[in-house]
Amino acid sequence: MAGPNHRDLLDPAALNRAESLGFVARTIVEGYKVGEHRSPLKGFAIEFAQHREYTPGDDVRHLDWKVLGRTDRLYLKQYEQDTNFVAHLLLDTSGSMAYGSGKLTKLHYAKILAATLAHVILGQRDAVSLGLFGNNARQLFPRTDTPQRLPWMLETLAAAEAAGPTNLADHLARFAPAIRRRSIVVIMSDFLEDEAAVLAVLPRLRFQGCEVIIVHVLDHAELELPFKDTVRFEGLEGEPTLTTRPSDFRKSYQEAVQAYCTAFRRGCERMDCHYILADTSQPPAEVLSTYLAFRNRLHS
Amino acid sequence: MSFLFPAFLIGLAGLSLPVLIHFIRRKKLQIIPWAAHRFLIASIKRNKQRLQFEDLILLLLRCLLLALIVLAFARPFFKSDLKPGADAAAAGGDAAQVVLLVDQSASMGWSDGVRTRFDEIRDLAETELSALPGGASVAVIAYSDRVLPVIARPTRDFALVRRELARLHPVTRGSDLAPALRAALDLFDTLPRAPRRIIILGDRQKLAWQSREALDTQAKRATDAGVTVTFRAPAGDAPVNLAVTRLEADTADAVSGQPVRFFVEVLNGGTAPASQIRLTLSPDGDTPAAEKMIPTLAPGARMQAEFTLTFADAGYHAVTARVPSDSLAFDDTRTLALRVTAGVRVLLVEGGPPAGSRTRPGFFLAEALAPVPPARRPSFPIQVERISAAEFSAARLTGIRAVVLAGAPPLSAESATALDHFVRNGGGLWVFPAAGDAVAGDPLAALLPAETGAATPQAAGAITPAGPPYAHPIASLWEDPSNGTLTSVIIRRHLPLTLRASADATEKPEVVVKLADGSPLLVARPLGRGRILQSAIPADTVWSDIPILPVFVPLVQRGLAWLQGGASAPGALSPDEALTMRVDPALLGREFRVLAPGRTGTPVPAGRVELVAGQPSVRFTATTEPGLYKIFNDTDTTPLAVFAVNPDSDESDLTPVDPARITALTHEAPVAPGAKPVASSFHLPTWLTRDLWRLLAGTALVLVLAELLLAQRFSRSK
Repeated sequence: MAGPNHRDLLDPAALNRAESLGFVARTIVEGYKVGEHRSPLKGFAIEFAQHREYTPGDDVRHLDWKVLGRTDRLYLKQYEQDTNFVAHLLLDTSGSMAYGSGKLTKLHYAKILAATLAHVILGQRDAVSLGLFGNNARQLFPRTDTPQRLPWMLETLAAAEAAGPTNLADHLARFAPAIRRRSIVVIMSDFLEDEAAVLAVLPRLRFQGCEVIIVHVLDHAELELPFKDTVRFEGLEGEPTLTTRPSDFRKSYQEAVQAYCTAFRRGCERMDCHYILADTSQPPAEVLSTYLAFRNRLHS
Repeated sequence: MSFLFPAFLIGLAGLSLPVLIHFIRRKKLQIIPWAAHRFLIASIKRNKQRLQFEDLILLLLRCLLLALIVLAFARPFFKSDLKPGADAAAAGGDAAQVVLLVDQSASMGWSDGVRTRFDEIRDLAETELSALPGGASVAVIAYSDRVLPVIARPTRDFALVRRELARLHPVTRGSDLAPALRAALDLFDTLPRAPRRIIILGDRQKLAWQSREALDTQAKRATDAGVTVTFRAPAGDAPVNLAVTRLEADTADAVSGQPVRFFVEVLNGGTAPASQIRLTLSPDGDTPAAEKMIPTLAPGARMQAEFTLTFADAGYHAVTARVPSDSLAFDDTRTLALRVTAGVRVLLVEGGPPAGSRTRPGFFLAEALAPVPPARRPSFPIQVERISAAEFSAARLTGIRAVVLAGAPPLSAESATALDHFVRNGGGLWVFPAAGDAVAGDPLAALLPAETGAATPQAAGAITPAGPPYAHPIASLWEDPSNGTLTSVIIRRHLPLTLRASADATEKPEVVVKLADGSPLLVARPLGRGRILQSAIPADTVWSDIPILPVFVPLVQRGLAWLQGGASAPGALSPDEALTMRVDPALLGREFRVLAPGRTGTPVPAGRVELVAGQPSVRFTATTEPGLYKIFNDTDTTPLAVFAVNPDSDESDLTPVDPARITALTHEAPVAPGAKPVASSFHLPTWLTRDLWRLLAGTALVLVLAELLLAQRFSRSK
């Protein structure tokens, strides 16, 4: 399938909903610039965070004199510092992402989600980086917080094509050291390869303090196997050709897919990662707005 | 097990259909690039055995279904198991081939008031069919005086046989068994060897068995071929059957106002004497105009009767002779169509002395043509116009029906051409030579039936015409000696006549009367729609004494009547005898219509006037039905021709055949009329000896339902 134009990736509906909800860091991210997001680095800025007992060497300018007057104890006032966060949008561009039973392939769907998120995040003056993993190669669009660079990023995104096999877990493992700060990592893939290997990488990202969001993009046909007659299934990543009548084992297939999704979701949740199952039959705007609304509820 | 239609077993090749359909569908399958192979492979592995089992069940079910359908079409049956020593052929046994010869001649319509003989024949056929064991195949041949294959090849479909028997009915035709027997044996010659049997279903009418030599030949043939012949006849004899077997008019063209003589023959074709038989003659379907009472008529006896009718109007008239109705209705009446003309104008062209002289060559002819006193001649139906040869011209032929040349010198070429045209359009021409040698170069000679040679010298003794039999209708009168004799004529000289060869068989010359030495005296030929007579002697007393003998007048009258008959339709035909009638050339290519017997209203188109043997003719062949037919051209309401179709009179004779003749053919002891045949014995239950197609079809239906249910069940997602 020909790659979409980068303007096509910005789904107006998705953008509208995402912008209205904003993209709020679920956990405290380590920003490098004062922004809308709380920083784990508690400083002495505007918004009070907590008290801490004074220890020798502390700056006495932060002593809370009122507490000292009332309790005769030395406490320092700590403030939360608003900061930017960096969102790393990582897309799987392996051959399997080329499948689409409807208008959109899984890759196209993921591109729309990524583009929408990038637009929203940059609009909040946060930073975004883009990683495309596929065909045993990766392409990174460096981190940027400049909205003016969005078109270039989108062009990179639009130019990406699904082809060949990939090892997503390996890509993630190699990508993890490059994340220097605790940030948000959004991984968009169909995770049809070794999901255990992917889950094995997640603890490292979490250990680095990253918030990991797993967007599991699956085509509706992959979930339901709706075909009636005899079908020849040709592998997109070199799998053997299968000629079969799906109606003979549809239920069994659906159960297998459901079991897989459930297991993967639980694996993600064990790592305190958000798991989003994106069915390509649903509008990207709906998937995105549902998730962002969920995040907002967590924050409130 | 055997099959009724084994050719259908080719359909078993259709067992490959499910597999072929499977492969065809595989070729047309949907191709989908797919990512989630891992789940597919897992699901397929998990369900593989179950799917294979289900597919196998469905494949077997579908193959079995197809096989059952094919077998049902092939009509299998279990062979009957005859008792050891049983005569398979006699019993109509195992896979026997049987031919039913069904008599559908007119005599089968004999009714006892409730049922006809043909109804009883059907019952006998049913009895025979019921007695045949499974596996026997039956062909049906209906016969009368022709053979009609009803079921031309033996079939095991007895329902078909019964249906065809129910459709058969008696036809108004005679009967002849020999050709039917030959047809049955010919059929066996084309079939594989098997016990064979011919069952003749007919009455015991002698007529059907009359071809003794042919029947003996076929009987020997049947014996040699091992064919068993059985004869079954309905019970009872026909005590009385009165029939009109002949109705003829004395003339083909009657004249209005003049009496016409009719000959009627009545036959008692039954086995008991009949008495007080009222024989009537009715013109145009009206009430009887004449009748005679026949006091008594013995079985097989015939009685001749003569009637005289006078028709007031010109045109076609139908005359019907009738005897009282009896059990066999088809022969109680007989019909004849007769053309009645208003009058005849004859042109007598003479040579020789001046008019009024008794020595003129046409003197005796004129007297014979109008044999009445001079005072009555103006009202006599034959008007004779006497002219000399010099006065003859084409214009004189207007309104003339016949031209008689009596000793006329050779005509001019124009006159000969006019006469040729006149004859070909329906006129009659009678040529009497002058007393002397024929003149060479006569332009009329080409039309005549014979070439003339030099006159014979004066005979030393008397030469007379030959006696009977006379084949030609002109001379047939003298078949009966009571009407006089031609042999009393003394001929002293004559012109030798040599018949001309004719490429057209319909215009072939023939001898009417010949001399005792075999040389022709009077010859005839049709030409176009007309007819020509040529005499070897003049019509005067120079060479013979015939003009002064009593036979001269009837000879001239009958000759004139024959000359007029060329343009007439025959009065009566036999069933299926084609009518071919020459008509006016102006009608060529135009449609003609026919009003068939029993029909009223508008005649229906029946064909076009075509050239038959080079002559514009109406040819009509649909004359199966007895009765009166009227033929019209496409515009006129006056019929072109009217003719009757009468059944074969021989069929009225119901005299039974000698039982020995039946025994000689069948080698069976005489069977009591209507006796039921003995059925064969079987070891297998009766239902197994019948066709099994219903059982197979029922099973196939069950399998269809099972296949639908299972296919539906198996197609549910698992």
